[in-house]
Amino acid sequence: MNESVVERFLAAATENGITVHGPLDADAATRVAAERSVTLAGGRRVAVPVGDPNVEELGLRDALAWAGAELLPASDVAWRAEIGDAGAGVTGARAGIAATGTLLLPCGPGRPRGTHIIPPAHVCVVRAADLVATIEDAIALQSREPHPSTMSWVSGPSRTADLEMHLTIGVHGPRSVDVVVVADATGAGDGTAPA
Amino acid sequence: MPAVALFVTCVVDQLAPEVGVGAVRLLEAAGATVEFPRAQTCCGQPACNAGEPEAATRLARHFLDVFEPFDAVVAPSGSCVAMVHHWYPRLVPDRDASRARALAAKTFELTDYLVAQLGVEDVGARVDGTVTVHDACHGLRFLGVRDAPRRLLTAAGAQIVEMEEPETCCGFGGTFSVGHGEIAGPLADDKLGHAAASGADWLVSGDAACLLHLEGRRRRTGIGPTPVHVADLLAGGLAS
Amino acid sequence: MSHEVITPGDTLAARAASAVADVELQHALRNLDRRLFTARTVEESFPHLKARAAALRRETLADLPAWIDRTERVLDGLGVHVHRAATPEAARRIIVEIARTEGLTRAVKSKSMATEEIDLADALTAAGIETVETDLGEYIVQVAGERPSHMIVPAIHKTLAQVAEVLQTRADGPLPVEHEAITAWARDHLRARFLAADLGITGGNFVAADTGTLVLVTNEGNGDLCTIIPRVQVAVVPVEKVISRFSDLATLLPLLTMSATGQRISNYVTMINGPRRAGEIDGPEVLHVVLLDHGRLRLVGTAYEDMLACIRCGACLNVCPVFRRISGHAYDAVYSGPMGKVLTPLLSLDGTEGRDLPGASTLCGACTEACPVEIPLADLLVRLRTDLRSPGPVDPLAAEVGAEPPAGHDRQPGEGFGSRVLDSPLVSRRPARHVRSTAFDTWARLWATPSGYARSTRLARLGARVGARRGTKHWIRARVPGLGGWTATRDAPAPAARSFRDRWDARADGREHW
Repeated sequence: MNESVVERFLAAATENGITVHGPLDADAATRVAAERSVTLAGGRRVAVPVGDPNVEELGLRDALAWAGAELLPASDVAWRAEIGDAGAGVTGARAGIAATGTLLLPCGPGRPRGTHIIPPAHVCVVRAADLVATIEDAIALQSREPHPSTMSWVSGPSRTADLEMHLTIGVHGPRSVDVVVVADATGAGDGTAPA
Repeated sequence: MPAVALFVTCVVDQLAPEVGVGAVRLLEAAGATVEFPRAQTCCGQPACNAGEPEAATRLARHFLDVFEPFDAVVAPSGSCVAMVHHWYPRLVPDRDASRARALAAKTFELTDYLVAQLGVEDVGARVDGTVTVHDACHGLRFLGVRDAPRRLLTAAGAQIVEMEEPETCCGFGGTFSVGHGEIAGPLADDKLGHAAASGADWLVSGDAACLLHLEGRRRRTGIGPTPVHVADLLAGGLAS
Repeated sequence: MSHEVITPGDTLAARAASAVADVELQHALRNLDRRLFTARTVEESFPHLKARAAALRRETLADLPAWIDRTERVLDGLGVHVHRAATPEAARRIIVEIARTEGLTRAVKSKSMATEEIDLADALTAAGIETVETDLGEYIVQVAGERPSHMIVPAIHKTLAQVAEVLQTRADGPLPVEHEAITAWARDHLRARFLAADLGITGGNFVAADTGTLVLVTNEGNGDLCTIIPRVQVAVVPVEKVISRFSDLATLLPLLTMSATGQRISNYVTMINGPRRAGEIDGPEVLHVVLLDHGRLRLVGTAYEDMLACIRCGACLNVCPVFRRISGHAYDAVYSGPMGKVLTPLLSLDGTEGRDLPGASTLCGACTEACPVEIPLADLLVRLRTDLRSPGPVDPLAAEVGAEPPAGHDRQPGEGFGSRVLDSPLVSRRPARHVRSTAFDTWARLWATPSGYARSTRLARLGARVGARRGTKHWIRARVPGLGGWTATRDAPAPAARSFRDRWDARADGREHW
């Protein structure tokens, strides 16, 4: 992975009001994602997907539990009833767009549509290897794969300028978005020393 | 010596003849020989913009007949020249459309002709003081006239102070200025206010109609620098 | 109509005068300037997108009926219920029927000009379905009983204090006049509506014919919520929102967001490929797409086809000097600004709406310049002034239908609906037969001869001397018949004592030296 793509992604996401972490190796990324989620949830439950490749690979659910989070997994029958009270939602991104700081969140079984938008905080993990340069690249990537029932692009917190064109954050969706970039296992794009 | 036919425009002919005088003096100062075809009247823009293409076509045909014989046609109005460029080929039917296109190719706005065709920026005029330039809409958007008046003014020694939104419409708009005076007036206020804020001594533009609209408003409110046509201002600075 | 008239007046001119005199409105409109420059700057940075987008839109429009058919087939394959609505009435009937059949009672809506066009919220409310706008600006105008005044910033006409006053009627106590506090209150208030809703109403910024992907673009995230929580979703999609290929989004999506808000991309872009699938726990169980025609398809192949390229970014409103002074309500139409002046009369099937809109333009061309898909808005306004000139209700397309295609046109005669405009001659479309045409005709006949010009200008000069104020130049302040609109706000110039040609002759005779 071209390092400048990672840097551009982090810069664009920051500009959009996203709090960025990384690139971090898998262990550090997992720890940071878990700790941020617990902190942001403020004692309320953390909604997590079940079967999301990034979340599974990192063992993020276990890490969250270990960090003290009370989980609301997407397999829970009460998910729909409880998601409104969750304090944070955790997602894994299929890809990220460097030019715009955008996260691509496919929805499907175990990866509900509401995780990134209903709780007041959103924490997302994305692999550096999955970052693409431009919107065009992202559209091309989606064209090559089966379309999920919904693909959500998230480029920042919920915002509005409807009151006198004054930018206000957190109108409907999350007030905060954190993204944790997981460095390639090969070390390319990894700006930190191994843990 | 380049020979040009002056299309003085009906607005200048009837309402602001000093602009026509200025245009002739500038062209002559730049080394051109000016002819004034006496049969000329109006380009037909008022009718075209009002949605009366038949009337506009009648005047377009007359314009074609009058100006076709000349090598170059110059007018002190970006709007009237844009009429020839943009609308004439669509107003006259197929076989005359090529005539219209050929005429458009040799019809120029005054400042654009001086700077881009004759390659003259310093016409030998002297303008003391500060000026702010209003980019009249049709010259700017149809013909790309933006730098030419500024170059001429700078070469004459004028100091250009840009106002906010020099490219925003002054609110004249032809029949609009009669049909919608309630909007045209406030838009003139916006333009005059921006010009006043620039601190310039003169509000310069290349279209007499816009300037008469602005001056008409300024006479009511007292706000803003004196509107003046670029040809009038520059020619006033020529040695007589 | 439940909407309150907030910019009073029977004519556009009267409403414009009200708007200009409204101090609070003028104060609120100053906020529009801030958006202007970001949009312009961003567009300057990506000129290649503009040309590409314009070409993509034209390619789809040239064969729009076929692309609509394909969209319908693909959506059907995804399990989406597709409806075609020829008129707003039909669309309302279809959607109310869906709500009745499904037993739905509480709807949440995201911002959509198409639903404004069909007055859907009112129709649902009248059918007993509680319908809440969820875009903050739309919610404010809904509570106020008004229409949106700007397609991207619906409550741009309100100051913060006015917003607080409006929303207070739904709050327990007074709301502080403070952006964050009002936003936080709205979040809590609307969140409860979302969680209780069983029907989600959205528009659609694009729908891709090859994949059936419905695209929603928002910054607030309310579009997402409308499609996630309710059991049933209905998307109202005007037919021209169809794009040929999913991959066209690579061009159109960033162009839309940059032109609308100056953002590289909006914070939420939701791409919906059908209803909830097996094993999923949220999203709509039932998804309906209502394809709205409302006179659009008849524009294909006519001079006005270009108008269908519009992606509703609002850029032409933001740069329009007239819009920036009078705001959206003065237009008394769903669509305002330059695009509204063109679209409103075109969508008026009975020829009665928006007739005075095309005249309210200076034809400065700022809209044409700003349009990211290169719609020649100023040219279309001129054409509409021609096509709408007969008194009484008139179909602006009457002169188009059946017209011969211009030479070199690639469509066969009889194919499509008429001639394509831009290169077609403007004249000989309809005989002149009303007062204005007769007046211009008389004038043109007179001025097409040098002698007629000389006689009429001499006469005018004599007439104008009367009542003119003395000075180096004559100016008229009194009301003059025919010039009342001018002299109401400005002095009018009187003809010069000696015309340019008089002075030219004097110089030639040596009576005058320049």
